[in-house]
Amino acid sequence: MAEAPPCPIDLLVIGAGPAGARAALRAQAYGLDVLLVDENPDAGGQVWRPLPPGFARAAGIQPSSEAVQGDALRAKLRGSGIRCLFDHKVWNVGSSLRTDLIGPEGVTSWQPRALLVATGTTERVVPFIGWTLPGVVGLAAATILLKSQNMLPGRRTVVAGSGPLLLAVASGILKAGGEVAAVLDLATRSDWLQTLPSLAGRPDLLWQGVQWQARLRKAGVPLLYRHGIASVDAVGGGFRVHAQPVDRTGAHVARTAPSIFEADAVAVGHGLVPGTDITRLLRARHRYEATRGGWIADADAQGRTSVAGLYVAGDGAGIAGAAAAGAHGELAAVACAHDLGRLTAEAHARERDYLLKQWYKPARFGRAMAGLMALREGAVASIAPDTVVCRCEDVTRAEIDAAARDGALDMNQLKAWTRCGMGPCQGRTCGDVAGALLAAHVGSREAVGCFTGRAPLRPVSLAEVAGDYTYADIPIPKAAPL
Amino acid sequence: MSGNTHSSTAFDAVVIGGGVMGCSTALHLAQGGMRVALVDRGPLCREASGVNAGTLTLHMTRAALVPYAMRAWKMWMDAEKWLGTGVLATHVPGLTLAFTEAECELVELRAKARREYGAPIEVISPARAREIEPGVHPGLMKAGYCDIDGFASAYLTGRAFRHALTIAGVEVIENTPVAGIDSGDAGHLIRFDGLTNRPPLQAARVVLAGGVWIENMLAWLGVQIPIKVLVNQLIITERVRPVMRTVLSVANGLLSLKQFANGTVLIGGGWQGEGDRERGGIEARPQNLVGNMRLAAYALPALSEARIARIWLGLEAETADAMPIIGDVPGVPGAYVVGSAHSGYTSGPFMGRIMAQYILGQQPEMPLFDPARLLGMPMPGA
Amino acid sequence: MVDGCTVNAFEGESVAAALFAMGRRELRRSPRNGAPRGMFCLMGSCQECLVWVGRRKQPACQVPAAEGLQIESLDFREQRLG
Repeated sequence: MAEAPPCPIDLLVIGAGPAGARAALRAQAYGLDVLLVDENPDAGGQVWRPLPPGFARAAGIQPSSEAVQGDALRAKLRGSGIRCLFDHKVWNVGSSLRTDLIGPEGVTSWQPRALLVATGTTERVVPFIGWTLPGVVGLAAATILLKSQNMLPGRRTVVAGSGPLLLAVASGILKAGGEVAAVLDLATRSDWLQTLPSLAGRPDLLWQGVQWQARLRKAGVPLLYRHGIASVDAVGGGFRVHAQPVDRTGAHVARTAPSIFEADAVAVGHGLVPGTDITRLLRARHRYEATRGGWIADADAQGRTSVAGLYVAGDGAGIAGAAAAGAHGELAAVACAHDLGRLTAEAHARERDYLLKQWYKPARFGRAMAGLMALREGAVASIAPDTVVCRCEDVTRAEIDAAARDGALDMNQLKAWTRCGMGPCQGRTCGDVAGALLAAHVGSREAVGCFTGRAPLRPVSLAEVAGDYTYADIPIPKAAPL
Repeated sequence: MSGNTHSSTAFDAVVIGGGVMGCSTALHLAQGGMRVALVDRGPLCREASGVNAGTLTLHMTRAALVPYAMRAWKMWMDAEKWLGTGVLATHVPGLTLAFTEAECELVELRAKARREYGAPIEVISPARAREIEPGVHPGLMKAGYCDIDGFASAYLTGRAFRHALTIAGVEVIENTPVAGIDSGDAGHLIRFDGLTNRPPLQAARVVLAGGVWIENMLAWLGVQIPIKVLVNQLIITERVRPVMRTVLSVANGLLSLKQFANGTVLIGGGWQGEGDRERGGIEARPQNLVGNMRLAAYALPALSEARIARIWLGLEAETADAMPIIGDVPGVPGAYVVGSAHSGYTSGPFMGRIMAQYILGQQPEMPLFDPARLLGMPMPGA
Repeated sequence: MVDGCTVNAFEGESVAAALFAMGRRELRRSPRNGAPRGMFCLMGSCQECLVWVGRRKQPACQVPAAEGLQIESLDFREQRLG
């Protein structure tokens, strides 16, 4: 990094999920020199994760449609000759869009003319007593165990939270031979029915939902709508899960006694949060939209942000689902190709309009799902004071409230006063919920803002950055005055 | 006590700038009986005072500032007494390290210069240094040792001061940018940014405590004194197992290292990043990150495995002769300025105290640093 | 090899998944409360499943299992180094 100057390229795409991979393919088709980077071993992102190399699908098992799509995308990438750097993390991006990567062989630096961030989302879990216990995992985590590691979260799992992953995980567990102690959904049946119009033209998804429900019914799994987790206790070698009735906002309804379920695993998730690490680091303008997942970079329909040369696409730009992500990635590639002078205004308009049509219907469905997954204020309000909110630093809700009462007015001040967000995850896990907690005191999410984006985007060791050197290699500037 | 906060009431003193110097000045003025308001365009201690390395050392303090730093060191260690809450100030010895012949000479020179001002610094052998700090690089050639050393958690400063200032009856006005000052025979009128909808404050005295923005503030009063902006990079690791028990620096002045009680290690040393007064700290310079990390991992090899959790920047102020600017604003009666002490956080609380003493008409415990000397003094390298 | 014990895993599955499969859920203790912690997000974001892989600290969910890999949990290594 200090030695070699950064390698120049036209477009650097961060994230090889549906959005990033499709963007890279299209950009290459326009003649751009593209580099595709992902910290995973292969393309597909979270939603189309490949099976590890040592796994073989058992003969006779039908691959899921997601597996088929993922494999097709990976094959296309391989065949395209696009330079892909897998197992590479982005640890820093400079204001010039210079991107510093860390991979198995050390650090490299790249200087793109345009940068597309397609890093997707992370899972949000609204904290409850016991959520940090080993064996409590996210819904997305349970999905990863089921789909790409062929593994159950436990023998008997409570599945809880909100959004489409709930039934997917519960059904997946049953299909893999596990037990589901209960499914606890913050939503109601009618909340789900309201998303039906968005499924128009997607009978396959509707059918999938019906199948999941049927499997649960057949197995006799209790499906409790308008229920959340009040607490999880470690008991013997497993858990006792207290399911709590909640209202429309997710707030605990105090008067009714909780139901108790015994399990040895809990899979819980309350929606997805767009990843804004990089866009915040680059000081792009952001806005808060609860129904798109929370804070997102302020971008146009093609993903152009307030920073010249910086584009966003996919769920990381605002949740619209995997099916829409690909078209969105291509829209960004079209914008980029035009902005770099590789596409005429007419061709740009034509391609853009075509892709917008492709994007519209899947996005409509994705956004309906995002609505189900949006953060519920009542659920945040019901977090017990002793509950750890910032896992990295063991900061409780009570400490956050105390800081707010003492006058903390924004997220960065909250961080300075409580250490919430100072740990290795950089506030990715706690930031959305902590923001909601502080906003309840201060007045609005906009008023409290976000944690300032900082390098490194993922923790890197001094050894990795420093490389091999002698004392003489250290570039010493002028010494301090006496 | 605060009464109607939105009327144009008269204060004995308004301090503009809520860093450690401004906060300390305001606190001591209030304790001296004055009616004080403290204004900042952001939250208290969110600029340099909240983001610095928190090093409470004499090794890296300018020699002539040693007596000030020693008194301030005591204040930080006794913070509970005068501030109410501490900033986790921790007393550990400080070692300044030499790995080359040139650095050995520097160690001797710097120790001698500081001893002349009262710092108890002795030059010790590498063997003795390793007894004190076993993890130091085996190639160590010489070290300067000082028992009076330590560190604080700078990010706790704002909350601590806010509490103390409120109890002392200071009117704390945060997130309110000042637009200008109209000074006359009747005192000063401090005008606020139109967007804040806040009427002007009337003050008999005004104290400019704006750190790197002192240059802008002096311009409000028609005084031109350049203040250089240093954009310092800081690096903090994740929590790691105990790897050090002193504060470490290198004789060339380019490294500061400390490990907090929570296990995190803070790496500083004044390596420069990108930024300026208008936009603040923008980003780190990659070669300066590498340089700083290499020096840190060299001085303390156990650090090389540590993972970096965060990198940030802070703006530090420096005058043309690298000495503080503390005293009367030249040519403007009832206007004072306090700031720009190298290692300003280290000596900050004491600088605020002597500024307040001067304003209260008392004999300051130590001499101030006449701002008038800087009029017309060219900034080196400008 | 995890904390001195041999663990069998499928090639390419994550170390986190392999540990999960053999029933190991706890990997470390939280910084202030000393509460037990283990895998949570399984996608490299939450930094809960940190382990030492040789001389590098990494989330176990991002380390592919491989023959002869030496893994140490944080406490185990700290005790070993004294």
